Amino acid sequence: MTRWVLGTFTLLVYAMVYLPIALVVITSFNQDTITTLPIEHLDTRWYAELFQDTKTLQSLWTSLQVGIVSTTVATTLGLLSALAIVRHNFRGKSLFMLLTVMPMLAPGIIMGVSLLLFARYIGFQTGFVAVLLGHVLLSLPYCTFILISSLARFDRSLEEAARGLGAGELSVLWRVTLPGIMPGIIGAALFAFTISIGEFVVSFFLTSAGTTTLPIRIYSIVKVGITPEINAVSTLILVATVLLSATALSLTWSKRN
Amino acid sequence: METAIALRRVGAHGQLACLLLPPLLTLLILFVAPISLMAVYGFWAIDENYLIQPSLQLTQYEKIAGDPLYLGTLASSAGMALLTTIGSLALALPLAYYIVRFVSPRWRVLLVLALIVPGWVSVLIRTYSWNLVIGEAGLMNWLLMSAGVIDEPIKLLFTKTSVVIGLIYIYLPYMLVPTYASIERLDNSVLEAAENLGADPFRRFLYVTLPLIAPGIVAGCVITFIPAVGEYVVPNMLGGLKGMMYGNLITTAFSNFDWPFGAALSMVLLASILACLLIVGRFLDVNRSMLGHE
Repeated sequence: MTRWVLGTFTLLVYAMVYLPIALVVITSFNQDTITTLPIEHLDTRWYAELFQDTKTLQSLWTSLQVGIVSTTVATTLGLLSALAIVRHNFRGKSLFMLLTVMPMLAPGIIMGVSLLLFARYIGFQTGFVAVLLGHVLLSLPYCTFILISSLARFDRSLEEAARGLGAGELSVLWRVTLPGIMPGIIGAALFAFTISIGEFVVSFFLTSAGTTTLPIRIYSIVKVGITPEINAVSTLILVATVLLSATALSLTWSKRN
Repeated sequence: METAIALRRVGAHGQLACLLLPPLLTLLILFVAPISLMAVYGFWAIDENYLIQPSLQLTQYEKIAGDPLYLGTLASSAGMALLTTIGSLALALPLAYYIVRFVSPRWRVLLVLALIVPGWVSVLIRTYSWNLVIGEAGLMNWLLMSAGVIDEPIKLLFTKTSVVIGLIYIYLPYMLVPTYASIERLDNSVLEAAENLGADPFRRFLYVTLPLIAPGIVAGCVITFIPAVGEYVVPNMLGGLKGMMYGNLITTAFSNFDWPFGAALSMVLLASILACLLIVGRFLDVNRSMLGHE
């Protein structure tokens, strides 16, 4: 009895999670100009219009650039942090870890406005680099913690063996440690990229006229009036996100087993 | 090669410094310094030409305390975030219990992931997607109207309710992960012992299960509540005027170029969150010593 009640409840929660997403995908194939139900004609008209829309395509390109650079920076910094935390004992270590988690806990709007104030105060131009640095800050905690768990599981006797065979510290890091934790590195990078591609609030405050990321572009279209083109863009991002996360998960997962 | 030799020469301390300095500097420059600057900004003011006047006055905080709009909105945001926390707990707890109790270990992780992965899709898109469900021309109204239950579409969008629905949707994964982890760790033999000693299911849940999974529940509540109070995207897209939240006020201050005021508003939010955390922490300590754990 309990089992069936709970089971039905669980099923309803899954339906609640997937229904809105499914509607985005379905309505993106709706031919009508207004997003209404029921759908009378299915076609790919809005995808065709999307690929004509240079502003949206330009913002996608900006998002990809920001994503790739911020991912590289955040993953590298996260790796350094993780190495320090897993392999060294130092004074203030717990304070450093607390500082690392903090950006995960503070509301995004606080980080957006404080970064804007700071940038203006020191005379730093908002725009591409500012948005990128904001994304680095947001993804750094996730990268650090993924890499900490990856490093903690890594078998250090391999490094000892390499040292015994005469390898220098950097060559041990480059040829033994990094390849050994590669699934964790790729997982962290994909996580950071996913955050960067979808991020809105911080970018909203740090953006400039020339740097429109895709979420900001979507926001500006939605604010004016919803067109089915938005559903097409969203569907494409959705597919990309699910593919990226699935890859990230399977990589971190296979390492665990 | 030269760097390798140099690295070995500086030894463990130098190595640690090389590892620690870049991320530490990043966090100091991108997080600590901006937040500290914001704290200072809150005591400044702008003159009639929108020029910043560095000073040490409480004008901004007096303005916040003087107009019920600000603290009222903060209170209603906290209320909405609380509803979000309770709502997502009410969804996550039975769900996590079902998965742990009735699903084979092979499928468990997959089922949990199936709820987390959609959470990685942009907040903007997930929020927007609720327009298609509860909007006037959305699925809900279409179904209800074609079934003849209602004649006029229900105007659910742009109310507090629609904001809370959106918030629950966005923050459900935050609640699910710690709750699920604490239920999965639950030791079945303790429950059996309680059953053998004659505890009915209700008492068993209240006196045995609940204290054991409490840390997971508290963690879930904290990481749901904090970002929900300061949420900007959801109230902005689903809230309209009726469902406005504190985050909208902060943004408005900044778009009016009244930065000191925006900074003061942000500091009030940060301070409230910190106070909540301290209260929760204190409550947990008391709880622990009373229950005799740890």
